[in-house]
Amino acid sequence: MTRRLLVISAGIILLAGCATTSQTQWTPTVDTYGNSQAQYLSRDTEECRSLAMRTSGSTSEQATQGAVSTGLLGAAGGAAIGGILGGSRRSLGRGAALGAVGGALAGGVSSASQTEAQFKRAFNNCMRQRGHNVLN
Amino acid sequence: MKQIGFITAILLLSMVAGTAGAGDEGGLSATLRQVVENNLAAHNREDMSGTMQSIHTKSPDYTNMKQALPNQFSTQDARTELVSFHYIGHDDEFAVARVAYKTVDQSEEPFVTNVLDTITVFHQEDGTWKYWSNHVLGVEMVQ
Repeated sequence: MTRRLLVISAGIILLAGCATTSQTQWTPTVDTYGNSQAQYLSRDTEECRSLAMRTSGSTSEQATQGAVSTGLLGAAGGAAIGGILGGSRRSLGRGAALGAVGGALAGGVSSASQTEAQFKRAFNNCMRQRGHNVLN
Repeated sequence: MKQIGFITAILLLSMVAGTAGAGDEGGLSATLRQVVENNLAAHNREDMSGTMQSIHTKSPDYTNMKQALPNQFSTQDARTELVSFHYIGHDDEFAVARVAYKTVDQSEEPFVTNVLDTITVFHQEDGTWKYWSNHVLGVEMVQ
């Protein structure tokens, strides 16, 4: 029994590890042709990656607040955040703070594939909100 | 006696100066709050030009805003209301306030109603206070 638990635990850790590795490496394909936002691609990619990792519950992301940046001001900020998080609504508890999402989902609530899909969707949404032409 | 009169005069002067300062702060706080409310109203009626008018043209987020707004207006039907506004302070160039917004969306697009808590920086442009930048302190997802 103990051995089985150990195997299952190892499997979960392995899956989480794979998801985390993928999330630190995967990047949306962006067509920069004719886009005045191209100069911000690198900055936006990293900020959106960080945001997407929070929404998808990556285990590598600590539950902290304050590092989230929408790159938008006033009402546009809330509209962007709501849209970005919209893709992962089922995974978010009521009243959950964004920074706590990573920790809440790290308990294995969602499968690695679901987490991966949420991550990519949030990542793509975030990049599009910032005016990039995301192809995938 | 002369000394008491002098001290009284200094005290009175500092009181007057203090009152004037507080009045200025109150005036600035109201002005900044109005900037925020104008921004929300313009965004809610999907008024691109009105929304951008509240953003400083030299703001590091100005281009982001200009790019993102058409997309937001075409895909979302977002409504944002001011949850709280707390003026923090200012120097010669910038003013700072803690501002929280609640945004809901009435379109069919997937959307999470949220309360965005920010530290917002304002900067004057041609004598008018405008949004300069903000730092998100936290996001609360509701319902």
